[in-house]
Amino acid sequence: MNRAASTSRAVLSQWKSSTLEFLRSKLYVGLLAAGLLLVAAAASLAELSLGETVATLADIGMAFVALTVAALGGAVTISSVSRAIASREVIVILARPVGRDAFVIARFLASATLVIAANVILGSVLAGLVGFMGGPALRTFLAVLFSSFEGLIVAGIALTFAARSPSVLSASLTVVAFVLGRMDGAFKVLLDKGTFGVMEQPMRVIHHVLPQLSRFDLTAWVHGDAPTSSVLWSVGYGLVYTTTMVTLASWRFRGRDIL
Amino acid sequence: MNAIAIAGLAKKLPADFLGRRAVLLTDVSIVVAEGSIHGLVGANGAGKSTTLRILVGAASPSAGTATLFGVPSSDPAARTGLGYAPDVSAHPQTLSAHEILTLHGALGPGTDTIDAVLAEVELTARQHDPVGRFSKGMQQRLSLAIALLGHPRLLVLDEPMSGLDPSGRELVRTILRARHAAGVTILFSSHVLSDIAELCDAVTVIDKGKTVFTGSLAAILGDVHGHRAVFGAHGAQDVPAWNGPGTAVVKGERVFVDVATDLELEGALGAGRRLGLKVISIESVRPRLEERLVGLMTGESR
Repeated sequence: MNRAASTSRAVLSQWKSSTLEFLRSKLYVGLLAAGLLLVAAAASLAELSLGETVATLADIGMAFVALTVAALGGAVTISSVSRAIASREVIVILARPVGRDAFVIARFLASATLVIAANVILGSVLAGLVGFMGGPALRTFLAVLFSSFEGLIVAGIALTFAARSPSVLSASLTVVAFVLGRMDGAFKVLLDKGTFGVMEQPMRVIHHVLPQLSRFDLTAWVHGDAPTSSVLWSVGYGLVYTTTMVTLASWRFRGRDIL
Repeated sequence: MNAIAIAGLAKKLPADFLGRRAVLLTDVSIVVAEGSIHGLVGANGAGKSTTLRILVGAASPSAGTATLFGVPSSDPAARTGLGYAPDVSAHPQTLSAHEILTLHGALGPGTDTIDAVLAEVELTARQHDPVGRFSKGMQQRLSLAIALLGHPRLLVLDEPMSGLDPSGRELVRTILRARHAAGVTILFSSHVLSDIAELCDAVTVIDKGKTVFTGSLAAILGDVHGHRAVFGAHGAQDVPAWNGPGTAVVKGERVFVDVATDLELEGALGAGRRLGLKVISIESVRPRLEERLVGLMTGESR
């Protein structure tokens, strides 16, 4: 068996077992349950609005789902990677004749699978509620599905940190990146309108390095307006950003000693 | 060919915020001949687990080399045919033993021996239970099963008998003997020196990150420490008159005299003859293996 084939086999087997491991975990089930409760809370809040029930449900529901899935992407990834390293479970895998990249890629794919699965479940429930109230169910479902990119990017960032840093530090840095990434629209406006002198170029670099998570918010499209950014560009951006993060995580993990 | 060759292995951790660098290994050298069973001994913190983790590719050395069948251990290809069990048994708690073995089978050794290794470590009946419900001993046996998966030609086991009850320990000893008889090379660390004495052909002693002895069990015993002359005694009344070298001890119809040198032995034999004692035997006195190992681990006899 050549090296590419054995690596693919190693990735697939680790992907499968990691996915299975976390599908059965209290962490995943708990976060999913929390997401469902938030969707139910969104429905309750929408009932309080005056005449804008469907729009409010879609807005709040999508925001809650995006938050849940981003939290899930970060938490599952950090838990998966940091625990395997801290408990030294990973040594037994590294003692096999496969490269370290297979471990990183497989853990990301498992997180990605769980993120998408959670989005499908939560999106279906939310879209069902929106449709039941006479709103655009399909658009809501597709918009929620599209926001999976946000979860994938957060998972990629978490993976990059967890590959070489302790779990608490990784979680903290991931949260910071997520919050700043959510504020990227405001950050850009600030850069365009403000004067920062010599700090302008460094701040523009930071803006480009941080994830632009507002790209994946299709709330306006659900309400019948045009998306605020090009969907195709956003897809490309999401794929490139995520791939870069996984590559960076692999590079960081290659040099890590597990002692 | 040597199955394992470690030469001048050193490991320093990166400097912390205060610029301090912890030194885990300074100079570890081990050679394990193919087909042998080799013990690795050392006190807690001596560097046994670090050495084994570098050997299986989990960490890189700061200096020195480690090879498996002539291939650097950092090369994944070196780990083909390697079975490794760590000192701590950490498994995904929501997966079953069968699922975990299936995962490891796909990482190289294949899945055709899963049933056999489960039977070997006596986990067949519990193979579909989540590992989170396993006792510590069962998790330890699962670690061993992972190492035994496929047909490894080299087993590297870090304290394989720790945390096991007496029957579990005997099971592991039986498995190691069987694999050794089948030609598998085994390197294992242990705090239980009787296990080392019972199973190993050779042993390496590490102290404070440095090899202080490596060689055969016969070699570790070293030179004869002294002699014991055994005389047939007519009765205890003969002994108070003992005026030869050493101390005479009467046990039943025998008188035992321990001496340190050949010259003292000659003197003891002469003294015995003068008392009319009949020489029954002359034995070489060697230290017990455990005494010798403990001596090496604590810095004596170097």
